[in-house]
Amino acid sequence: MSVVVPVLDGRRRPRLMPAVSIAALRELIEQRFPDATPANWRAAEPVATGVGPLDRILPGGGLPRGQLTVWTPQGGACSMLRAACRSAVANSERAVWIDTAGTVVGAFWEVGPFLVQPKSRKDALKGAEELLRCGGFALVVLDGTEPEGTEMVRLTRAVREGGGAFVAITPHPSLAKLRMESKIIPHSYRWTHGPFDDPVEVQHATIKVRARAAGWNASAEITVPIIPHDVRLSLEPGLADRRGLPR
Amino acid sequence: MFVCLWSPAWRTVADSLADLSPALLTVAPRVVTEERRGGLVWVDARGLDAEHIARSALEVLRGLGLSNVRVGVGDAPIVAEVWATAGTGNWEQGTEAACSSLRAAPVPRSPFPVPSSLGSLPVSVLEPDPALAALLDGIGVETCGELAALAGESVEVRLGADGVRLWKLARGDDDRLVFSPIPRALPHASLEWSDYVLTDTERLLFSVNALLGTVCEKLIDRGSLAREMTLELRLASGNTLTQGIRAGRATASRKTWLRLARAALERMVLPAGVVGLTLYAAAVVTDEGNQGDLFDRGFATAAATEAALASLAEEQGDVVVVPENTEHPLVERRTKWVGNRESGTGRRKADGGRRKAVKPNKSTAASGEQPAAPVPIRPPSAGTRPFPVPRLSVDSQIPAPDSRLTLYLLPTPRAIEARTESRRDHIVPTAYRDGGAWYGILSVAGPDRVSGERWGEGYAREYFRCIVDDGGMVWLYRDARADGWYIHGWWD
Repeated sequence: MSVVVPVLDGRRRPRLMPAVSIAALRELIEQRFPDATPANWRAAEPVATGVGPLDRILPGGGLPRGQLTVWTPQGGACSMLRAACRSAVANSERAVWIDTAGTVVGAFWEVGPFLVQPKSRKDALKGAEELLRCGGFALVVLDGTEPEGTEMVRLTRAVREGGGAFVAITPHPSLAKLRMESKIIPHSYRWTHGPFDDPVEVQHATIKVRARAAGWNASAEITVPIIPHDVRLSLEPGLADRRGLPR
Repeated sequence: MFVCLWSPAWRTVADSLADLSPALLTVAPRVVTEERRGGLVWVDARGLDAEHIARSALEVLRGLGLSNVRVGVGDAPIVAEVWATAGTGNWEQGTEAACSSLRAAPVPRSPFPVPSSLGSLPVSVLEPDPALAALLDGIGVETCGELAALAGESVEVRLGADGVRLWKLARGDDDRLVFSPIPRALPHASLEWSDYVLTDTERLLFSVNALLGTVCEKLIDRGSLAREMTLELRLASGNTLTQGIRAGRATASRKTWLRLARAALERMVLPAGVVGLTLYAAAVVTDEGNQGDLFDRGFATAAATEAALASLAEEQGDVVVVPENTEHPLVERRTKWVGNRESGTGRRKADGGRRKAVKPNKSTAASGEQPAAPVPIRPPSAGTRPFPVPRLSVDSQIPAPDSRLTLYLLPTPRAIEARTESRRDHIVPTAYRDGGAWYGILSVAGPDRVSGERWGEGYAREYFRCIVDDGGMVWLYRDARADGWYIHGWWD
């Protein structure tokens, strides 16, 4: 492939670069230095999260394929990413959630995405690499493990090879093409109140999500419902059991 | 040609007919023993010189001290069997003449080649059912030749199915399989050395890798995949160490088998140095591609996905899981995670999803071949693959996603310190300390009291949903029995 680069002629005036040459140069840079390309250069259709306000602040309208995305833990990260997993499945693609810490509650796990629960951090990283490299998953989410240094490099190479989107829930953003942060606004919770004006059931809350990449900075506030925990031994649905404790 | 050996003195001379097989295998490639008629020994002479084999077999038996042995030779098993057990001129001294006279020849009034010598024998040599024998006696049929000369339709009408079967035998039409088909040998390779012994895993693996190259190449050539391989290590002490290697999914990939072999070798403890290796595929399946589905968007990547999930299962066990929920009051005891064999469908197959591969059976036939070959195995289908990934339909039935804050649990509740205040008839937390830092609680809902199992490991908890000043919502509880505070989970 020939690439035309700007040169100086004898009068030390730069010759204008044809548009086709710019495209060729971008292609060369993308090929030689894939990590140096801006996040909004869409090599492939990104993986939409299915959450409209979130997709609108993501470069390209979704989580980038073949790239590493890092999402800071908590603050609603899991709610957004589980929605993204369900969205991938709804769009006839595969998604997998790697739950290293074993924090996922079975009663609240929805059918659709794969759930992997490795027994150790090392198993989680090896499993993530294998699943990323196979190319069968549109979205791989790694939760409960914080890859470091060379581990992150290996995962980055694997996701580039596989071509899916990879999101690591970790506070360390190194090598990430896209960095996501989210935080639940403390006073955004909406409660239903009981007869004594006590908070009884929380209805929804607002999450502020921020997406950052090279040349990209966008944020949105997203209101999400809250799934109540399922209290057993209830006398009626939604009414907690208040029997049995000696006072 | 079939050669049948029979003696009225089998049981008094030999403990078992099978003991004769090794000696007879020196004159014929296949020998089969049968318990009928007091014991029959079949020698496969198809495509060979039957008379020579019959004479050689008699000489071998004579060498074993068996002189009163009859031999029958025929194109059909029934001919050889009848002449060995009920014939008149088939004694040892008349072997050559008997063999010559037993060749099939057309019988008058019959379009089929019927052994003429069988025609003179009584029908009883075919061992008819007593009722059928009475019928034959009633219509005046006494010899095999007379029965064979009847028209098939007449036999069917008058004598029924058993009569037709006997009629076919009388005509030398015997389609039973005395010798089972010769199975194809399983791919195998071996290596031996005598100048040194190996104990180092890496050096052993180097040799195993070479054997795997041969075995995997043979598997690919015959269009098969191996589900299980067996590695035999011959030790310097003379013993043999056998190690089975099983893959999560049938494969002919050398890379996969090498990885599994490495894992197996690293686990092994060698009592002595190794002087030889044998590797063979112990269970194989036919490699038949799956029918493509135009409406399955994931078909192109299904195989890679299955391979990745199977690899995970091989290395880490059942880590791809689905929940099985119960009605237990405590949420952490409510779920049992089980291996997901029907990945992505949320259902677990009743048989665990693993299909038993058919292993080679030890046949009663002494064929002289090794190793034993596989019984034909059904090709892998979507319902029997170890990790059948679900079909990705264009019109997915998965509901449109929405983002929701969901409860996540700590693996075990963590003790915290809490400040509380009274609210009517109960107390609620106002702040808690976890990991050295205090977190203020903006609002709290609860308590939700759960108690039970007073007969066993009892519990009594007061749960609170608390909004923390950093925006998170956590799930705290007070253990009413021990009067301690714990953080159990959070919403994320």
